Amino acid sequence: MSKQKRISEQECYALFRKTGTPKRVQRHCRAVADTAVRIAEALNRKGCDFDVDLIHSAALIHDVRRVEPNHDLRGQALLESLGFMKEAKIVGVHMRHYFPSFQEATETDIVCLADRLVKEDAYAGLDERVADLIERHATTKEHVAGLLRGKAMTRRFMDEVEAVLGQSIDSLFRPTLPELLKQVEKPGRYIGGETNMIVKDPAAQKVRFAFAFPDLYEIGMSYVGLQILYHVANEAPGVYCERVFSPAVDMEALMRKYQIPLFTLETKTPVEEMDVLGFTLQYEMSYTTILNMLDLAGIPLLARDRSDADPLVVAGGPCAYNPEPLADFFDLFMIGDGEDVLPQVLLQYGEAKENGLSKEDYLKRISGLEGVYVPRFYEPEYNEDLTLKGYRKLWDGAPDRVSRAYVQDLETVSYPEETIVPTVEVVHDRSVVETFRGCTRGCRFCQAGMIYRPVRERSPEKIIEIASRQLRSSGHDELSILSLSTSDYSRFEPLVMGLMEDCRRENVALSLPSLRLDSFSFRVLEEIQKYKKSGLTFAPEAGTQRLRDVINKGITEDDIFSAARQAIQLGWRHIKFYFMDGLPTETEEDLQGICDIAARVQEIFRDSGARGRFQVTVSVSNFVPKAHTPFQWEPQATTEALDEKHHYLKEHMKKKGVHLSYHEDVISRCEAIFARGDRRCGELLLLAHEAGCRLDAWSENYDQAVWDKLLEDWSMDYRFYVYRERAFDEYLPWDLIDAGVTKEYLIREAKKAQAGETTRDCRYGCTGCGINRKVTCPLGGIYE
Amino acid sequence: MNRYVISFSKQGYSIFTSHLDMLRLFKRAFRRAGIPLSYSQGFNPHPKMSFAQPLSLGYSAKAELLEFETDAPCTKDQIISSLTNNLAEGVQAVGFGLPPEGKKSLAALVDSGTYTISFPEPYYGEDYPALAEDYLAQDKILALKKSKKSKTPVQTDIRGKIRSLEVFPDERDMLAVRLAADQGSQSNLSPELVISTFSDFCGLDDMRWKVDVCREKLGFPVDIAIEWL
Repeated sequence: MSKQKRISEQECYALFRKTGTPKRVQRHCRAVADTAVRIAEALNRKGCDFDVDLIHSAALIHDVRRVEPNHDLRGQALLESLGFMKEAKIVGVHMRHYFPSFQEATETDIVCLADRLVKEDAYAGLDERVADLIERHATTKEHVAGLLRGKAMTRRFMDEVEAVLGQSIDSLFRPTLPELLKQVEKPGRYIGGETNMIVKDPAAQKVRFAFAFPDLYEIGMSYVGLQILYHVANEAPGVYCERVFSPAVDMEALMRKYQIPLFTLETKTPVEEMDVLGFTLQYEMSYTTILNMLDLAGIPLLARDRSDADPLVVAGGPCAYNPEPLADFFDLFMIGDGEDVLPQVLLQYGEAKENGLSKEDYLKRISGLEGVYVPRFYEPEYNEDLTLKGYRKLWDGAPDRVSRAYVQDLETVSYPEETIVPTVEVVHDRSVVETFRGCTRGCRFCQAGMIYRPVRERSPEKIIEIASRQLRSSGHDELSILSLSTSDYSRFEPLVMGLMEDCRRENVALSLPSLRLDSFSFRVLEEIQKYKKSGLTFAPEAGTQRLRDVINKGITEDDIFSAARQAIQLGWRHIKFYFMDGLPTETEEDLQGICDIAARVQEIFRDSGARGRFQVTVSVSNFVPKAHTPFQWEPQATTEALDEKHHYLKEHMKKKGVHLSYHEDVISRCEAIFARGDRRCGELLLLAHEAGCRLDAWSENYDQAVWDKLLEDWSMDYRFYVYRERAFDEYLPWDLIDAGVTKEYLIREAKKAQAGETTRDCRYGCTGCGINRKVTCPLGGIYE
Repeated sequence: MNRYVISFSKQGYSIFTSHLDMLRLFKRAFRRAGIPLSYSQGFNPHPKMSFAQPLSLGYSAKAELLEFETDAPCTKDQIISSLTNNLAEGVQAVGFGLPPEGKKSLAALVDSGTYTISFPEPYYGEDYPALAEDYLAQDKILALKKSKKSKTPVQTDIRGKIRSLEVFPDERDMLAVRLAADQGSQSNLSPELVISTFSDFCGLDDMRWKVDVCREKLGFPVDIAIEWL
């Protein structure tokens, strides 16, 4: 009878009032009750069978007579007099309780444990609680020693509890994710659950893969490669690919404060629990974010510090073509097209795991796969002048050179038709179909033009079919196509006519980026932008014909001005030009050429007799020499030289209706270090990470003073990487990677650049880049 | 033209989807479902679809209202089944009906909202029913409100905009407040002002992020009714 009687919450508070228990004690009791219940519920989820109601009521009433001496015994007596026998027993022992081993643990132990973890009215954890007790109450050495003995005993019991829970008790008391999300900007970045997100039962998978984009959600979700690889990875049997992005600064601060580890969007699983963590390397300035994300995930940064229990950490993407600055942090890199190699890497990892292979053995096995580079099997050796001598293989089975992976046929390779549709607005919110990969133009500054060869196209029918399926599954009202040079698609007119027809019927806006501005393009633009004429963009890249020949940008002044003339006639009132400064052989004349083009286009507008405002925007970016290009040996212009160039442009472009925008050099200098860096740059990244750098591609986060100091502290001289002209016979850090084009071709192109000679588009005849040693070029020489 | 109303709930992580993102979400959902919305005329046509009342970021909801117009008539089954499979995780269409007759939009008609506000406070720790009564018995309840024009908050009396307020214990014996307040274009009260003034009045100092808010329903003047199908 009375044995079953349990004091209710309402009765507890009534008793507090009757007994005169102070409010602060009531709040303490409340916190102990909440703590005890949470621990008990977590244990019950693991198969224990604690009486949560009893724990709750006993904990809530345990200090009812706190202000009186011997409050434990008096509390017990009070409760007994009211018939709450079980509660009374717990209250009676709570001041002098000894923890048994967990096997014998009862409700009493849970209440007493909670009481030792709460400070005043909030959970504090054992360390903080005991430190507080010592500071405030311990008067003698003996007392301190007694408290520490008690702490050790409690700790031992906690260890047993935590072993059962599989997580720390502290971690039960972190704020929940929704509580965190109520405190941050744009919480929608962290919630997942978007239309077409892939849902799988994680427990039923062989390999759990976190695909990480080292930047914010809205940047990463605008990247088509993510959609492709997410789709391809999830198609692999037994693989669950989830996404993870960098938190913004405010969210990161909270995650660190409450020790919430980096998690995936799909299942909110800590990244640390995944089998494989893969980063996409899109730009060098994201490298610091990668280190920060590893840190937030609780994964050791350096590959050599990770054990077999840690996830395999991999990377791919354009920057993987010079992986060396990141070599110390990754277990393997995937070079080239990811559609085939990524599923292979994941599936073989699953197999290795099943067969109990060590990470090392897996890496040995996978290093034979085309496109896989395992940096730990190669040790760089340096010359006395600090240049690289070469790599010494640390395992004989590793390939001498790593060839990139190729997808031979885009027509048959899987392409996502049900893309994830971000719920929050992202940079590019639209359906996108890749029309072709690669470029035949051979611009000498352009890394993409070199490393994505050869050109491989999808058929117009296939593109149109994918587009229509994507639009149907996403509900997007905008469609775009993706390639390195839209107009170079070999069947461009039929493709565009087909897409336009579908879009018109479905009320979808069609957007065609980077069109070559010929008369067909204008007809198309006129059709698709009837009322809303967005700005027209044009990329001559250099201000004079001489310099455009040096960089092999096949555009003439005539092309520029006749396009501007047509655009003005058709009603465009804003034209944007992209240029680079700091290009090899650049002189003041070339800068003046940029100013002249802007002025001339304004003149064309005035001469046209059209009325109204007309805006020319000139956007100038600093040239950064990239690996695997004919300019890979070139020095970057110095900060001072770039400052002078910017100054010149500013002074000579003070025209009405002309707007100049450029970037300060500081970020491009960092970019240049990592773009052509070697393994010694890893140290700089570690220093940067320790200095708190991340999201450095965002100018509001890039701290120049910090980076200046870092470059000073670094054991290497950054000028060695940025301002040094390399000799053609120097062994370059990325010479280990066979990107397809040969070094002989790059040297030939570099020499032609110096001589101001152009090289034709290879659709008009092979230019001997060497890619056809590996694969056939479907479009090579088609106009011959 | 065919005008309809749907009601939908917003739970789980979807409470972190903003008002504008919800609009975009529904716009796409209709497209995916193959239900063509009517479009406005002009240079920048947009689909005829709008919410009765924006919901603050971080609030959950049981029955938000969305009205829309379609070129062709559609049925309840068509709407509920196609939208249910087509929205984001946590957003679910629950009802389908016809808006009140007349030209006014739901946004122009809505005049009240009912909320449940959950505090992380033990319900029995204080005499909350009495406190709630005293709170309401004040002549004025002054709240600091951020005005749209000036950046400094101004004091405003919100008593007249509170239609009713009562307290009750939730399933875990924690303090819950049921609030009915003015909503809409005529007179509008943000529950945030009630949370802050009621907390001050009762001496609660909970972090705002520990307080949960759910909009139970939206209300209309007595002579206005949605015809639920």
